[in-house]
Amino acid sequence: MIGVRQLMVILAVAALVGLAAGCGGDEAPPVADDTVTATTAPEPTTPETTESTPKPKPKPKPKPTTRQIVIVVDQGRPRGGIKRPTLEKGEEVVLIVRADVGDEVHIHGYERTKALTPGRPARIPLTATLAGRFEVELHHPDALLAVLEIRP
Amino acid sequence: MSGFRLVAHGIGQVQDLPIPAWLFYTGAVAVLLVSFLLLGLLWRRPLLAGHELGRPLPAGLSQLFLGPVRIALQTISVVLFGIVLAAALLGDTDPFSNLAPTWVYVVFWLGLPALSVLLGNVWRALSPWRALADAFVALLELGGREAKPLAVYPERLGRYPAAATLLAFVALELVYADPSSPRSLAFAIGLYTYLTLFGMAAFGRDSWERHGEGFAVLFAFFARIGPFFVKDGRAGVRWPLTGLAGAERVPGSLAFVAVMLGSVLFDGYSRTTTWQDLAARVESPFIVDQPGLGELLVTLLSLGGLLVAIALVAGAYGAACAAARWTVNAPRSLVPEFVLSLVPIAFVYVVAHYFSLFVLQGQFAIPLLSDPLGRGWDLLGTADFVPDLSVISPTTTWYVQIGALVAGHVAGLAIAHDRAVSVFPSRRDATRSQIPMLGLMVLYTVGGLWVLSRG
Repeated sequence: MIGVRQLMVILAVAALVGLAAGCGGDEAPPVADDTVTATTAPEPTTPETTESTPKPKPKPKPKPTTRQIVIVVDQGRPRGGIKRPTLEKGEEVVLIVRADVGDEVHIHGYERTKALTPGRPARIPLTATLAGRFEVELHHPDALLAVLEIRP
Repeated sequence: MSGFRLVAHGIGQVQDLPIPAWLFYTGAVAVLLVSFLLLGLLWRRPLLAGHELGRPLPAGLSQLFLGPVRIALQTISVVLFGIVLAAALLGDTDPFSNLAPTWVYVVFWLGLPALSVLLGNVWRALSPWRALADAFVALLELGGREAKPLAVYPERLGRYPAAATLLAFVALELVYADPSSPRSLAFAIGLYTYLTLFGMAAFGRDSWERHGEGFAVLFAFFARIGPFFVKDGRAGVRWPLTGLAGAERVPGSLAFVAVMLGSVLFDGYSRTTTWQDLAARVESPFIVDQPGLGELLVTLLSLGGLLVAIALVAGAYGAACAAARWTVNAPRSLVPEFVLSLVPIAFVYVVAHYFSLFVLQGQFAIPLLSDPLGRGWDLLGTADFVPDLSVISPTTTWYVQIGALVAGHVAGLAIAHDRAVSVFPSRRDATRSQIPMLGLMVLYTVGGLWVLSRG
């Protein structure tokens, strides 16, 4: 289970990175790659080992409003356990998924799927229009990565 | 969809938000208040028992429903059965482009309980297997031959075969790794069709539907909650719940009811954080290298969880009955006396857990009926219907859940109490025997609420 503190750290870093790297709605794999690398930088606080080295490349394109939910998958396992972020209805977020295996990410209910390339982060912008609990799943291999809890 | 069974309950996309803590406590307090209120209003003579025959409907109306309307429904049901089986067997393998998973797990499995309570034992007219057997018998008789069962059903087996078939179905739904796979469903439907037709041929249609056909037994139990019934070829109407007055001495009834309750409890629990994390911990070491092994381990874990949930339900009831028997020095086991009081609780468990799934996922049946095999057809002109997943708010779902559980609790208490005053000559015994039953009902209801409130 993810600790609150851990989540805060990730969110704080994610927000910082979002500020630094910017996050326009368009597809920008190189930028996103930096995003995740930077995000995983403080992960040594978690017991898992991380192969990524911190190499922050600040790119001053400020867009702080969109929250990022970062999911890193090692060997089909979400790092830090199944994530359970809570969102308010109407909130806009960006899911960033980087997995070492799997070919697809699927958000149930919203029926959003995104092709994955192992090791490359995928960005899935999402507006939380539906309330409820929604599973975010990795496909092939299949694994539950996160459950979005969207409050009315 | 995936092989990971975290989308429990067969098929479904949106899961309910957990009941918030304040609502959980409100519900629990309401349950306790209602219980003590009922204790204060205890009636001395049975109010429900003796009224289960209500009054008959007008003869013409009764004949209309049991004759032409039934035959029309049976025809439709066989056609639908053919379509669903064809979809499962030949249609698109994506569960959401195929009618079969949504039809079986949502329209049939969640719709029939509600229909049974509202309209009586409609499964008699809607069961495709019964319709096929009826048609076969009609043809035989047309040819001048008599249709006779091959054997007499061994009564001591009671409802255990039905409990086993129901368990097999809920295991397919909740334990099997890929319940919504159309091909798996086709296999299950084929197997069950064979078993049911065999059972009906061997022991007679009515006998098998009373003892071995899990769905028929289930829907017949639910129909006893509601006002409509058929007795000796005549339809009648009665007060709700009166059909559940009395004892249920058919062996295996407790096992059957425990499968009903336990499976819903397990389904709820399998959606909690605790269970999801446990399943992920069991499966994750194997996800990449041996996904088959990981899946097998989670399947076994889920099967264990399902069986434990059923055992807990049955064990709690057995303990409450033993305590009641000890309290009043009853000469015989009280298990058959109060088992029917669990039926309304089983029904409201279904309502509380699946109301939103039925309303949300059920909408997908509308476009799928036009394109059952996922071939891009538009048979009924509804293929473009877009389900509205925001049609009920989480708040509505919460209130339905709490309301249903409290109502079922009241109904269960009323039935148990009514039975107690029938069984025990002394009022004191009747009251004292109900203290363990009250505890049991509170346990079931608050336990059900608790599962729904777990994130």
